[in-house]
Amino acid sequence: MSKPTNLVQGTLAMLILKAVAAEPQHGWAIGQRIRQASGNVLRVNPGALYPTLHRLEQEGWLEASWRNSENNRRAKFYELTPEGKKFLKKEEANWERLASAIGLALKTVTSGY
Amino acid sequence: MWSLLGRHKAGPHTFEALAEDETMRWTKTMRLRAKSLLRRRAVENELDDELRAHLDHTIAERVASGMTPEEARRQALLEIGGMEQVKEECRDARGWRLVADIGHDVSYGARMLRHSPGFAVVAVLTLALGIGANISMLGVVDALLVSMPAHIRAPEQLVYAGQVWKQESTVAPVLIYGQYQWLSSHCRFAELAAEESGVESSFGKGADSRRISAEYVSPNYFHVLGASMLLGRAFDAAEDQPRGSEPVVVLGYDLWQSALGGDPKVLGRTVWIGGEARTVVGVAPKGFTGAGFLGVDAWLPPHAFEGFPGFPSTSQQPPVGQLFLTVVGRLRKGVTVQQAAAELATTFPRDFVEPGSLVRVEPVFASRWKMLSSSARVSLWIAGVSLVVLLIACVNVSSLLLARMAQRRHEMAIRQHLGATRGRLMRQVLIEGLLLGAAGGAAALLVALLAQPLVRAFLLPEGFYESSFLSGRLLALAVALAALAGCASGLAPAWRASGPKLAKTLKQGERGHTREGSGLRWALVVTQIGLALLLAVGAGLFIRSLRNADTLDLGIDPNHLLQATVDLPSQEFSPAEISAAYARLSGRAKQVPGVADVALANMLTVRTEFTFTERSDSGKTLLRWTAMPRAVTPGYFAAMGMRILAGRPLLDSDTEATAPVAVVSESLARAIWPGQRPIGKCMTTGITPVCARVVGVVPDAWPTVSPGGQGRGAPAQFYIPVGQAKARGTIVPSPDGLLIRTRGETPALTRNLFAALESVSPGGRYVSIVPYTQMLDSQTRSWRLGASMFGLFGGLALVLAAIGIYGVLAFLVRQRTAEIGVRMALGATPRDVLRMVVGEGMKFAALGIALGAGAALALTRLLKSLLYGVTATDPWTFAAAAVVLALVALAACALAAWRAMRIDPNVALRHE
Repeated sequence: MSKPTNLVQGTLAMLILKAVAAEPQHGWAIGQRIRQASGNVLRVNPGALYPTLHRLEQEGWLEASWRNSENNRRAKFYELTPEGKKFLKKEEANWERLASAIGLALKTVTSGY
Repeated sequence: MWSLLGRHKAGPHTFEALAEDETMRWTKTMRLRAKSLLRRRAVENELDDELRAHLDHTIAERVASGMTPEEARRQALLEIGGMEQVKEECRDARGWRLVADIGHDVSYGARMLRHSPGFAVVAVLTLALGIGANISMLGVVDALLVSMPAHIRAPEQLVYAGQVWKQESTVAPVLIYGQYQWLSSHCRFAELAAEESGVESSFGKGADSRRISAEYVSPNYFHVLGASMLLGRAFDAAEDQPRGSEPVVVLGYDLWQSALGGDPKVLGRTVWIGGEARTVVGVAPKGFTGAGFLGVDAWLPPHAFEGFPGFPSTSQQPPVGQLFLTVVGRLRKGVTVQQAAAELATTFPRDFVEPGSLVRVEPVFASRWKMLSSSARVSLWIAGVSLVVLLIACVNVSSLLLARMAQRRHEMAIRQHLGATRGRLMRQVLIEGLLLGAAGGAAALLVALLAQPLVRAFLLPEGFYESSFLSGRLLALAVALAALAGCASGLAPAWRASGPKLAKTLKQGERGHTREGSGLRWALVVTQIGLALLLAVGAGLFIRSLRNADTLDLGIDPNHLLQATVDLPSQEFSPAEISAAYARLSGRAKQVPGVADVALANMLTVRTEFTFTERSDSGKTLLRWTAMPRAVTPGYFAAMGMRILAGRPLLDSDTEATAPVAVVSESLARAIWPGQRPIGKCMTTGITPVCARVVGVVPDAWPTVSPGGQGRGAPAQFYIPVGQAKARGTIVPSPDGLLIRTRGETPALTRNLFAALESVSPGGRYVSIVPYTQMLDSQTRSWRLGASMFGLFGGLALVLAAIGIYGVLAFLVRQRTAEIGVRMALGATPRDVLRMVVGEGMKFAALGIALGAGAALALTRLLKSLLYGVTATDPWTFAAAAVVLALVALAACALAAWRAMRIDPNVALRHE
């Protein structure tokens, strides 16, 4: 995920929003969470992560505050705003529709072979 | 694609709710963006902290999994990639990078301009003149065509209703009072009110009296317009009655302020209007001018109409010298102008319709451009011309910027090599243009403010009421113009300065680009010359019109001629009393030293044409002819300065007791008795068929000079002695003016005359004395205006074009110093150099002149109706304009060539 394309970038935003949906998280922890949740498949490069976080904050979907992290370091924690929640819901629905559509298309093509 | 799909099915939201959501979100993100801009330093620190925290977390994790701290750190840094790059991308994501860059460009541009103050001052002044002229002119357009009169409710519902003469489509429809009264009680489509505006009257008594502009209106006038009074009330219905009610007046705000000091207890006070005592019942709000745009000092109820022919009480009079009223109506709800017009056409009684006229309903404001005077139309043209001037100004600044950019190619090339993109370089130059535009715009506001009194005096119709000149609308326009001018000036230089050939510059040094870029600059110069020619042709056409109008043989001598009038309301004075009063005034005027001749004439200002029957000696009707009759006292021709072409003038001996006589104008004589001697012929005028012998012929007197009227002859006229008029059954209204020819014209003489006349004026009424030349001046005003303004702008354009040519040539000469030096070293004479430089400049000047002439040919056609005695494609005017332009271009070229000739080959060759 070093060179994000449009699709991947949009997906990254969704993944980030999902990662902070449960509770506020700082940047490093967000990267970790995405990695763990994807079973070590998706590794988020900091070079893509931080600009996306700043963009989401600027859009008003995330809100940031400085708190102490679990190992007692001051870190910038991001949390979902109500608008962000709405946006995430919409994106998830879109994604699921797309994923199932692609799955369906693949299956149809395969069986028709 | 999928995100698009997603957006369409956004769940239960309606479209409106979604749109609302979007706007809310937009305002929120803008707020966030502004916040990060304002807290730039804090945000920057936080970014550092955040990334450091990330590093620390990564290192801590690696160390926990058994790595050495050094190795962990190395890997963590590696993973992040370029720290600075990540920061830069974060900054980008926050979206204030562009703003920061632009801020940098602005300060850089300002610094560059500060370093060359000469260039900056010239450019800013040029733009200030161009933009300033446009602000002023747009103010004129705004006043004439866009702004609405104040204090009128729903002005789009107002219409004029009445009759228009077919050939006079430029005036509002009118009705006589009786027709208005009939219509207002029968009209179902609108509520109607009548007005007679622009009535000259006087305020006060005796020597303290002043001239005012009054308006007669029907009592419901204020109600129909939807205007409420500042003080007191409007007229009530009882005041519509001719007699029996006390004379009242509603004062205009300005008169109330200036003459009565804004007295709050003015209601019930008695004031003198037109020599008559009236009670003030109301004061109109500030800026209220009725449905028109001319300032009004006082409104009088319609009993003031009484005595005018056509008023109900005297309606048995024939329609000579009728007072025509403008009828304003407010359309009832749901009625369109077309419906109203159709209804009026069917209900209006046939016998009301004057021969040769049409029944019309016209929207008051939507059709106002049709009713503009020719001066006002010239003003609109000048507004268009000011746009051309702004264009020329932009071209000049553009040209100046191009020259500067050529000097700064090294700087640009270096910046490009250091990684600046083309867009970035273009933006830099454009911002310099915009900075000039902004400074020019600010200075332009000053120019417009300074020019405001001139604009008011020359470009707006006389008496035009206009409250706030620099409105918010105009300020917004000024800002837009400044931005536009900045962009227009900067665009070509920006394109040129950032071009891909820039890279070569560094390798080639100064000499590699002598000619490159001059093509664009020449194109700009050609444009300038073309536009300047266009304006020069316009100025020439108006100057010729003005000269034609000024040198026109009017048939009379307007110099040293005064017209004196006294306001004698006919409800107080019988016709006999009025005649007696004028006879007394006339007798008194003759005694004033310096007065040569005095005469009385009726129909001095009202132009009425009627058909009369000409009979030969045998008594048979030969012709019907439209002519303008005048009943005059015997001294009339001498007073007006009219020559007697044949026969004799009217004499004191032509009385009621002697045989009827007449004097005819030249063109009438030619039309009725072609090739014959008119003296002794018999003509019949009026109702009783009495034969009047023609005793004299006078030149055609041309009391009006109208634009576009070069083909129209003077109206046919004939003159009969006042003393014989009644006996012939000709209806002669009372004389309405005294004509006084003086020897010389001094203020003292006018003062003496004023005092003398007022001493015998009935009840010491106000006597107004106006020089005849002043009345003629107002008729030639549109050409004077066109000639002076086109001339002014044309001159400005000429100067700018000359500077443009000189600038390009001087620049080329400077760049080619070495080349010229070599040529001279190889034996070229200064004359060769002169020929080379001038030849190059004049080539483009000729092209500009040709293109400008083509454009002028296409555009001046539109001026046709505003010219006098000259065609829109007058070859002499075109030739003269071309010659003037060629001479100016030649002078500019010669100056540049002179500098080239002085190049010393020795110095030039060592210079590199």
